[in-house]
Parts: sequence; structure tokens; C-alpha cells
Amino acid sequence: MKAVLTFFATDEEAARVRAKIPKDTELFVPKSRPNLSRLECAMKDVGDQLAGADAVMGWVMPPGGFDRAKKLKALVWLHAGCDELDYRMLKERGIKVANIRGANAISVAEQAMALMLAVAKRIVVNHQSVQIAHWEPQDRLRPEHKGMMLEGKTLAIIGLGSIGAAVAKRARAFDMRVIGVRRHPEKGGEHVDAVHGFADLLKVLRQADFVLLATPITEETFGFIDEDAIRAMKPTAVLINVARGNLIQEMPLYEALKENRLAGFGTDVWWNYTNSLPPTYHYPIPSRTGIQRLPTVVGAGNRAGVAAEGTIGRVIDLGTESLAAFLRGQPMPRMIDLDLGY
Amino acid sequence: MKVLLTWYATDAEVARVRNAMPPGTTVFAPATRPNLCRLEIEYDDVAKEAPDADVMMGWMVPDGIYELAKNLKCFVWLHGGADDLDKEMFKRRGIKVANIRGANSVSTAEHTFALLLGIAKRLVIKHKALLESHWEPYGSNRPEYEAVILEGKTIGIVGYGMVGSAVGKRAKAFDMRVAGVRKHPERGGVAADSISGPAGMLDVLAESDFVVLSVPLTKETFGFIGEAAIKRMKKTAFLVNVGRGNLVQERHLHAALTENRIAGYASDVWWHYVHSFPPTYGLLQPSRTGLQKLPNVIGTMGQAGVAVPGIISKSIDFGSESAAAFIRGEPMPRTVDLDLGY
Repeated sequence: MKAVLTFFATDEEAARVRAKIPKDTELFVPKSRPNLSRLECAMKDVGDQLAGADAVMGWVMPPGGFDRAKKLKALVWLHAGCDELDYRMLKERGIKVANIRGANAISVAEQAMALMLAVAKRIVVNHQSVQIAHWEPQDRLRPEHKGMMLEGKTLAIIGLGSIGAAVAKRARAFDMRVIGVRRHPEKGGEHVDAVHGFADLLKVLRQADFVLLATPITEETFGFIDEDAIRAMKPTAVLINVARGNLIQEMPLYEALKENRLAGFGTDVWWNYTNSLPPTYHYPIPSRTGIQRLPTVVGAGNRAGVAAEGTIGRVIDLGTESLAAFLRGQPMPRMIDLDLGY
Repeated sequence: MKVLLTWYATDAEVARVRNAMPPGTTVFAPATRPNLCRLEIEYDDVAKEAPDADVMMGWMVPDGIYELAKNLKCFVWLHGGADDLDKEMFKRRGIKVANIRGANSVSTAEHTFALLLGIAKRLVIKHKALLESHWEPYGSNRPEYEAVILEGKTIGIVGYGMVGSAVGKRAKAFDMRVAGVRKHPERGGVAADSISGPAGMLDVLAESDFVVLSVPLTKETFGFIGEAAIKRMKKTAFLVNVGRGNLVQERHLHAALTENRIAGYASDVWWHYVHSFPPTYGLLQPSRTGLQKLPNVIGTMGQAGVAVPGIISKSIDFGSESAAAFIRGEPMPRTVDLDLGY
């Protein structure tokens, strides 16, 4: 069997992968020089090797890579979300897919708390004031300078997987009331005061002071935070997104923030513009409404899952587990249901 | 007995204080118009009422008023700290002093976590990168973009009072190890894995990944985080200050931050320059070393206590309780020990 890594693994990382897969596996690791990031690669780096590959593991697949990899039977996708993959093609070709869900749940949960507190305490605007030595009289703080409390507030967590549950645990230590919304409410949830199904979404949004999106993006959840959902939220509420930008319809969110119908937005994920004009050659930007420049918005550039110490190593270890299982002819842990999309 | 309020109290606030006092108490509040902030006051607006005041209560007292208030027996300071009071003068004149410690301890603990996560996740620099559409390639290993995980780390909390223990409780939900330092270690500490006395502080600093200062500013703690203390900290450690700016010796901190001998600093409190040249006409600024502009620093300006809904009323209620107790000849809640300074 042959496995191809689509990232420029260090010698140490390659050795760690090799140590866990069957001895007779042919493992290819690109050796050329990376362009921007060693976690990405181009066809010139792996193309020749893909033709014979039984399995591929990495964060990216260069355009055309799947066509080249005619023998491909397993893909280990080193992301928690698989929304970028062409599920129909993978299903038709019988390619099994595993992801690394859970590897970065703690890192993302911590990022969610960081964003929630940053918006609640207006950390960025206040930091900017300190830098320029601007000091407003205490009794006349503008709303974007004024902090809010977490204690006693209601947090709605949409998506009660490993990230949602980890946030719930932390939020409870801040004495918040936590309500979960999940596809299977009958599964219940740890550290939550109540669990609802998606049918109750608007009802839950009406009660929440903070709303956290921690759900995979699927056909059902694409753009599900729409005008109705945003209008259901309190004007004093704060929305936090650590899942995918496209879960939210951008224009109604932008308008709500602009008109102070929503008190804040904290996000680690941004919109991905497909079906947009011009269809290509446009430059990537966080948001076409410029939402990131509003004073009540705090954002980071999806650094939660990867750009934390030790996360890359943990991700590779989890992926290697799935890869090794496939190579031994065993069922892969963390397989993706290509119909559900997660 | 006569109670003098040293701020531009609203009618509702005056009524609130009056209702809390024993019958026969006179409550006076200036009715003139404030300059910058109604919680601050001008000399002329209280000078006439000061000589026969038995009790004074407020957020500030103009220079010269204490000398006029010959009859003063009780002073209620509507702040959590008592560091800017002349304790010797109160002792000499036998004036009892109370503060409102505890009114905003949860708010301060939440703000501590906002700062701690803000610096650990490098949120401000990432938000700035986002505004500039700068996207640091993954795996670039630039420390100012790499987030740190809280889970499994040690947090050293110097000052394990109401704020410190509320921070400790929240840190446990992030699965951190909590090492508290307090003047009376024999009193133990809620949620702490270990509690040391002041003599053990340097050892706690040496083992901590995060150090939180939540200690009153006293003769003992003024500048106690100096070169020796900073040198004991790990190169990867973050310092978070919600106590007072003057707890830390600024120049040594600045040097450690610019030479990357510690990973970062986050603060809600800034230096107060007394004994500085020129002795007066000094330009008010967060830091004379310009520390607030360093990339590994984030800061806010005394926002920790302000986020509490109704904090002004809450402070007035706490203060009135102390004043009423004094007038009835009962022991005052939240009395400040003028020898200890808190």
C-alpha cells in the first residue's frame, strides 16, 4: 500500500507517522520547498506520487489531485470540518474519508471563550483607547466601550459536539445558564441546563444573551442564521461563531450590528464566497460588507484550531490513527458520513 | 449626624442613601453641574458643607477638603482599593474608614479572564491583522501569532481574596492547575491546588504559565514585581494585572517584554506617577515607557469593575450600609485596616 502526505512534514513528524503504520507501507513525504506554508502543497510537489496512492493524508488536496489519484481508497482530512470536499464524487468513487474531529476541540472551545469575553468586555476598543491614551468619563461610556457581565446570563450553544460541550463546561464556571441546541436532543448533554432540537431554534435564540455557533456546515445549516434568526435575538445579545462563516447570512447580520439590533459579534471564521461575481480573480477578503471594521465586532482569522501550540502534532497523531487503521484493513476511526457531511 | 456625599448624586441616589440611614441623619449632596464626570467633584461644591460633616462618602475628595472637615469621624470610600488614601492622616485623626470591596469582584474576575484569554490567544494582534487583510501562513512559528492553550497549564494567582478565588474557580473549568499566593496561607483558598504565603511567591512565579496580580497596593506590594520577580518567570509566561499598575516596576517589565524574557502582559491598571519629573503638569499617559504599544501587550483602562449592571447603585448601597452602621454605633462592614492598607 502507498500513502501520500500532502504537507511538508518535518523529519520528526514523518517518523511519528511511520512508527504507527504497517512496516511495508510506502510513505511519500514531499521534500521540495513550500510556497507559503508547509501545511499546504501544490501539484508539482505531490502530483507524480498521487497516481499510485491508496491513501492521502493532509490539510489540502491540490486542484486536480483527486483526478490524478485514480487508485485512491482513503482520505484522511486533517480538519474537523469537511465542507470543502466533494462528497458526491467521493461516494461515487467509494473513497472513505476520516477527519480529526476532537483534536482541536479544547483549543477551539478556549478560542470561543476568548472571543465571547473579548466582545463582552470590549477588549479591542478599550485596548485601542489605552494605546492612544483616550479616557472617557466613567459615567458617559459609549456602548462600544461598556462591558457586560457573563454571570447570570444565558448562553445558547448551537451544536453540542465536543467543542460545544467544552464551552458549556467553562461557561458554567462563569455561573451562566447554558442551553444547547443539537440535531439529536434526546442525547442530552453535559454541563447544560436544557437541550433542544433545531425546531426550537428561534425560541432558544429569543432567550439567549450569548449565542455560540459550533455546528458543522451542511446543506441544512448553510446560512441558517438568517434574518429571522437574527431578529429573534435580543438587541443586547452577542453572537459568537467558531464554526464556519457561511452558517450566517452576512447582510442581515451586518445590518443588525449597524443598527444596534445586536450588541456584538465575535468570530474566528469568515465567509467563503462561491457563486459570487466576478466568479474568479477576486481577492480574498474577510467580509464583503466590511463587518470586521464595526466597533462591536472582534475577529481572528481562524486561528483557533491550528495556530495553537502543539495542535499540529495532535492533529497528525489522530490522523495517523485513522490512516494506520485503513492500511491494516480495519475500520477507520472518525469516519465521515458522506450523506450527512460530518 | 450629617453625611456629605462627594459626588453629584441624582435625587434617586440621595433618597437611596437617606433611606438606608437611621432617622435624624442629614444627607447632603452638591446640586451644581459636574465638569467631566458626575462621580468626580470640585472643591467649591463641597467646601461649605464639609466643616460640620460627621461622615463623608464618595469616589473622590478634592485636595483641602479633609482639612476643612474638622468634625469628620467616618469616611466611606466607594472603591475596592484604599491605596490612594492617606492612611496616616486617618489614623492620627481617629477617622474610621470603610471601602466597598466585593461589590465588583465577579466583574473583575471576568475581566481578568478576558485579558488572560485575549493575550493567550493573541486576539488583538489577530484582529489587527484581519483589519489589514494580513493572513499569517500557518506554521510560520511567529510567537506573536501563536495561541497558547490554557488546559493543563499553571496559573499563579497573587492575592487570593474575593477576586483571586473567583479567578481560580474559572481557571479550574479550563482544567488549569491553580497556585494561590496570599498573606494568610493558613486560610486556604477555594478552588486552589496549592496556597503559599508571600515567602513562597517567587517559587510560584517560577512554575506558573500565567501570573495574575489581584493584590491590594500597600507598602509591602508597591513595586514588588521587580527585576528579581520577573527574572523568576518563565520565558513563555504571561503576566495579567488587575490589581494596580504600581505593583509592577515598569522599566523592568518593559525590558523583559522587549527582550522576550516573558511572553506577554495584559493589564487593566496603569502606572500612577507620583515623585516624577516634572512634579506637576505631567502629561497623563498609561505608561511612560510606552509599554501599551508593544505587540505582546494588551490593555484596558479600569474597565474591570464597571461592567457590573448597576455598579454605581451597588457601590452606594454597600457604602450606605457601612455609614449607617457607623452612625448606629455598630461595627462597620468592610472597615479598612489602616495599618495593613486594605
